[in-house]
Amino acid sequence: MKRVAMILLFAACALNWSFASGTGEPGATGEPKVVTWWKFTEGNQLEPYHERRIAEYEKLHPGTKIKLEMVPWENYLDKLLVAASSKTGPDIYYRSNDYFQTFIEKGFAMDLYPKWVDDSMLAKLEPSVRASITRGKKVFGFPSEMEPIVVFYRKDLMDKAGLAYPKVDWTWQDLRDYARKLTITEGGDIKQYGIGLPTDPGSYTTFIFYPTLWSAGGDLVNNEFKKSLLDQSAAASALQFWSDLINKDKVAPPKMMGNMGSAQALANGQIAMFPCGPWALNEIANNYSDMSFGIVPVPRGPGKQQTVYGGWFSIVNPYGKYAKEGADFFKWYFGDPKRSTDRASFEGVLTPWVNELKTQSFVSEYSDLVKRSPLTLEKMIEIRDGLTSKAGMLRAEPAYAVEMVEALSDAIQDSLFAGVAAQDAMNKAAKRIDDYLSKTTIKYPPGNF
Amino acid sequence: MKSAVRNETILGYTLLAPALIGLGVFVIVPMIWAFAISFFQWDLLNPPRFINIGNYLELVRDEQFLRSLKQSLVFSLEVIPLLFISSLFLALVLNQRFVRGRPVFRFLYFSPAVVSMVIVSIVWRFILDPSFGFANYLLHWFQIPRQPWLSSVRQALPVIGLVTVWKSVGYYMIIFLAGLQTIPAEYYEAARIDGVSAVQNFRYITFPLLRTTNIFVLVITTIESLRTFTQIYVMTQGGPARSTFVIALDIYRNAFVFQKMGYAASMAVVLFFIILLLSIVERKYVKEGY
Amino acid sequence: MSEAQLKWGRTGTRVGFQLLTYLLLSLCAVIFIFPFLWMLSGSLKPAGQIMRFPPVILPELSTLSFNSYARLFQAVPFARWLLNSAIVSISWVCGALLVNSMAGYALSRLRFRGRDMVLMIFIMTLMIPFQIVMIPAFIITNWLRWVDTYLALIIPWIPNAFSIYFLRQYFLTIPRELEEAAILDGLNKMQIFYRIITPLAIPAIVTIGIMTFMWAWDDFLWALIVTRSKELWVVQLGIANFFGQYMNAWDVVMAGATIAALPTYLLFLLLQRYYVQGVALSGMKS
Repeated sequence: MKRVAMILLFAACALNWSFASGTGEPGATGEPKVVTWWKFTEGNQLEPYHERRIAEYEKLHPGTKIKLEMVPWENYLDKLLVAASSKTGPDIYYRSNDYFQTFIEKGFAMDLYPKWVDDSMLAKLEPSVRASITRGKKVFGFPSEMEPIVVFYRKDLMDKAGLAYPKVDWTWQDLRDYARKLTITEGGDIKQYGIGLPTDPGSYTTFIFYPTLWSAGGDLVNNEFKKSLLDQSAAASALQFWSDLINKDKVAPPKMMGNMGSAQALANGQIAMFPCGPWALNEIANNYSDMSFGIVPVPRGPGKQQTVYGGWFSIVNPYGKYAKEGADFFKWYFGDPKRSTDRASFEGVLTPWVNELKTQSFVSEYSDLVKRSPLTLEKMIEIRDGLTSKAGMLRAEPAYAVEMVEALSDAIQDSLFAGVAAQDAMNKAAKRIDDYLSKTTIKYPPGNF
Repeated sequence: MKSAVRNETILGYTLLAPALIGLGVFVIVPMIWAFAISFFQWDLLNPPRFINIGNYLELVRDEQFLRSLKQSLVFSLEVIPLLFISSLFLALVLNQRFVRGRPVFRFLYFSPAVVSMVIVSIVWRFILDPSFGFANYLLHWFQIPRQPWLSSVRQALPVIGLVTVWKSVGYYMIIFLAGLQTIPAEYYEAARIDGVSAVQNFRYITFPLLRTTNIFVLVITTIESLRTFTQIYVMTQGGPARSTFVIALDIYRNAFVFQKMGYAASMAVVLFFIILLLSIVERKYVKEGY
Repeated sequence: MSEAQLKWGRTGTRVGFQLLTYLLLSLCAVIFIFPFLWMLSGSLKPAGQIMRFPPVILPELSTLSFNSYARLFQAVPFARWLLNSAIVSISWVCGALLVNSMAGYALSRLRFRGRDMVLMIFIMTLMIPFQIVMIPAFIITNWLRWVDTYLALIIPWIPNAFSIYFLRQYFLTIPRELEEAAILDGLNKMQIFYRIITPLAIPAIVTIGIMTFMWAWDDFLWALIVTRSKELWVVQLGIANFFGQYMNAWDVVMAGATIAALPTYLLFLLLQRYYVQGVALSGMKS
């Protein structure tokens, strides 16, 4: 009796709920074209803004619908690849430089030149942004943002230690001195670290490492992408600098608590300085609005003063059913300086159209939403100008293959945690990269921008 | 006589049918597929390319793979005995009649199993933070020196092992508890009259009669520990310096980070045979219960 | 020693032993429940405070707020997601108990050719990592047109080798005499199954029920790749929604995780009484 009941219940449920599914597939002609757009989640809800824009676009283009699907950040790549492997991927999606090159090489990014991104649009962009989306004559993504790394610091903690705020042209030695003076020990315990560095394996750590590497005069590969330059002494000294901060001077914690890109540790006074990008301004405004802090460019080294900026690209999937319609939407959204900047302000990132809008007056269209963001155009200009006061200070995150980034990541790990000497670790990484480069042909070389 | 056997065969397969079909479609076919794809090169985005045993040849020369394998085995060697002993022990203690409030204790010990592994890993990552985590705070209070925990190449893997045991103990505890219910109370009665000690009780009554459960727990903990992925991914991502880079992470990395699906599949095949071998050995070793 | 002293000594030892047991149990209990309490307290604090040092376990009453819970239900359709999880998990459990116990019985009590081979194959299905299986499984699901439906969330993993194996082991411990007596009474194998075996295996069935519910409820990766529409999300996806690239909404995450943990807790509490010794063999007398 009980068995029978269970069988019936199960069958009924299965039948019933198999029809109560999610939205179905759009049909043949006459029905709207549904462009699927995949974006990853942020800690704060940003969808309302995008939904408004989508509604605006749909009114202008009846017959096209944009379906925004949010995917949890941690598994965004997995889901993207699984879907792509069975050709059910989205029409348009986001990706940063970590896999941009891979996707270009594997044919997962559509060439947008000249129909969607033309010469006039390219001319309005930041030079390094332009370089990062083009490969020769082709353009593989729309630029959506620039997130240059700067150093955040706690003004009140500096005051307490009797230190003057760092100057724009400070050096890495200055940074070390600041870190030493800002590390407070109490009863054998370190209560406050001078600076917080990311130390997990992966591309975020290498991303934050690039400014140190570059300003020491080092680089990952030469301009022709034929040989790795990590085995040179400049690179080793950069790595040694990080390793000393953590292991010798102990002014940086071996592991950051929580998310490596979050300003939480800074806000809690666990660290006094923090290399981070402008996305932190959003977090600070929302969660730590009474924190007293300042921003200063990354220090200069014997080589130069250069910081990295990361960014995400809006890419069109050439296998997508409505790829062209998706590209049209992206062009309308990301290809328009004002609209793109409005969104960037809301998301808390720098717009790639800073040059274009600098001299114009700019008022946000969705001021009720945008008001929450502290990253106004003025602030963006302030950050950007503070960084490019010297030529060549802003360099885009390079489009390296994953194998290359991993080699560097392993070198950092070995040096920080496995007690391997910096030079040895870098030599090993250089060899791995050389091996990789000799075995691989790059179809669309990015060039060293 | 023959038709009786045939009836039983028909009944057997009828009862097995849903399970066979379900597992067949969603697990066995994928397994065969995975085995097949290990002879190809597939980057997920373009059609696969046949390369014969190329993946396996590369596997043998892959230093990282051998390291990952070694670390997986070390991890399992720590987790399996700890998990088995502690969950059995707790089940035994909680089965004692004199213990009041058994349901409460059972409930508390089962708690970690209930929360998702991702959240558990995040919470422990916070607690074990070397600079500001609660674990070191506690140690400091007892005048014990602070430990690096997850930022040490020597401590990270054992620590994650302990977290794994912590999470799963309640789980296997209730499996043992269920198993303990099958032992008739009369046996214990008889033993008590004979004046048998608690240890002898365990050795001659409880443990032998738990044989089927023991085998089950042993085999399953072996399989699960060699497949460990989530907690390591969340807590250390295979670091520091690849000291916690176990085989499941290597498979994931090759499949999704490098888009070398064929190669990852070959790793999975090797892992499969290792687990298979271990399970067979375990069951033969504990002999009966098959 | 006099008899009185001996007696006293033994009682003293027994009390001491019991005290020690309780102490040990309580200490363990603290270790086990502590992270859950931390999670709970994290959900009641504002997001910025969760990583404070020295760690604050019991939040001050002034900062205590259910804000995170409110945000959880207002900012996203969390209630709908809870419902989805409930639908999926309950269907899954019903199906699983049925299918897996049938298979377990067949593999333990019936004799037929290929029986041991089938068991071996079932156990082998546990040995392959999910990341490899999920791509072909997804392709199959896509081909069946089940993507973005409840079917894809419920059906594929209903037959489960862990459950089958466990139930089979348990069925093996039920004495054959009971079966033989039943055969003499004229019952056929199917009737033996649901009249005799099943009631005796209640502890095992309850255990598998709880575990299956847990797996269904906690499932994340599969739900992630077969779901497209937000209306179909399950609770675990919903919580992951609050993780971001650079920052996580910790308070909301903890709130979500606390709520997500409750159903399994409740289920376990309710079903605890099936772990009473002797229930299994009460049928022996008849």
